[in-house]
Amino acid sequence: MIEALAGVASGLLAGLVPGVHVNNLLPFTAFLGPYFFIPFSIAWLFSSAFPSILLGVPSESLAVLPGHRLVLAGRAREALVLCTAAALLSLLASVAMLPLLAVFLPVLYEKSAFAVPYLLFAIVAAVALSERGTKKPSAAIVVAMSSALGFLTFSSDFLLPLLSGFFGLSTLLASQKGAPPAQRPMERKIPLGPVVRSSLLASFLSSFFGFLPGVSSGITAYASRAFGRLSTEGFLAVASGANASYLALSLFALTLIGRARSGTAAFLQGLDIGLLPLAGIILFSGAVSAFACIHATKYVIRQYSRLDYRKIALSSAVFIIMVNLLFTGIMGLLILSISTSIGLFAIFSRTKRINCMASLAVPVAIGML
Amino acid sequence: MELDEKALTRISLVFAVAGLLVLYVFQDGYRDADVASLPDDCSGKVSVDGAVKGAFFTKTGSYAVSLSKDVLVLLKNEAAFSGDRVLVRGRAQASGGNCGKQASCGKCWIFADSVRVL
Repeated sequence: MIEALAGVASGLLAGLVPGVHVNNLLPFTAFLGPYFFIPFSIAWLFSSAFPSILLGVPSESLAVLPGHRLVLAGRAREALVLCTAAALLSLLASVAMLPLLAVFLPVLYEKSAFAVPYLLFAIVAAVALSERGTKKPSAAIVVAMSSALGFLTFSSDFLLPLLSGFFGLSTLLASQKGAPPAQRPMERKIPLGPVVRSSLLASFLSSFFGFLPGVSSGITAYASRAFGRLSTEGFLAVASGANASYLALSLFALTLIGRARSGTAAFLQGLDIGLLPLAGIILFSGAVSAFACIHATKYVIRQYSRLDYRKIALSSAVFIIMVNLLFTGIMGLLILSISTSIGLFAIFSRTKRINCMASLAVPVAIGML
Repeated sequence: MELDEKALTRISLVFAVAGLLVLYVFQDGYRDADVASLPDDCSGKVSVDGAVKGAFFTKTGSYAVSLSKDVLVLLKNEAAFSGDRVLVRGRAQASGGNCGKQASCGKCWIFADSVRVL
């Protein structure tokens, strides 16, 4: 219990640092054991919404635009409470789906394995083709360069610089935005119905996409569009819920099909803690994190408005570079610089950075053919 | 001097392409090999894609897996099990003629640099 609470407290604090992904921090926390680093990852997930939404430094590319829209309208508190509620509800839904997953997932995974590479190709193509007319060539370039980088690094353990560059360092370098504008107090209650619907949709889609190798949670938010046009709030809830569901389901997937589908799950490999204790840790950490985030929203918004954003962004960038150098050496730095350049190209050409997912999906798909 | 988005897009594209070329040039020179041909051509740095048929501990306590009855992989810290499909990169070396009655005699060993479970 104390370990879990310590994990939640440190995860909440770590999530407030902009641009640093939980995968950059796990190497420093994994030695404290699963009852620390699982709560750490879950708490990070909740509090990382604060810098993503307030400072314009997204950790997941799809969550940023709807969040910024609400911040610019002075509705930051509403956006943050919405994200927190959606993440908690999605964790609950993912745990509720556990009995079904435990029965069907291993069988389904085995029976449908032959279709996985084709599905991965289809997803990569669908995301690139969903760009508007003039952006399609840029999306194709991002997919081609990401795939090439994926092939060149596929058989070595260079996931850290790959993802740090695509989604972390590139964002920090490109972000020109400063502290959030003045915010209004929360004027209306969050409507529960749409949040529950979005969270269930996120969990349902994540249970499908979450078990595919090389596919990130961003794809769930993208795929949710197939179920009708979502409002800004609805999209934000799906994106936030998908992140939470992905993490929970990736931890279950490790036990059910023996495959690690997230950084946290990779660190859990070899540590058999059982499905029920795992569900317990997830729910406990989620509930404590949500409680803390909702109560800290007003205070954190006020503190962020006083920060020198550029200094924080610079410190985060230096931290990411140092972590990559420490764990992956000079070759890792070369890969980090390439993935950062590709991430920057996607940002400046205004194409979705989820196209960078091709770096994992395409080599995995070709390897499985 | 202020750079517009178009210029920044081009600069990042040039950096990305140049970086990929540098990475390609400095790649480690593994040659693609298949499991069937390895026993006859068991040398140099190879990249092999195959299914794990079995796993065992060597006499020195190291963990190893077999990709066929003649191709064995000595792992470092990686975990791979029977039934896994793996991509192995490493140095191939045929066990010599002085191996006596050891089980590994006449086999092609790959000393893995990296193993990825697909």
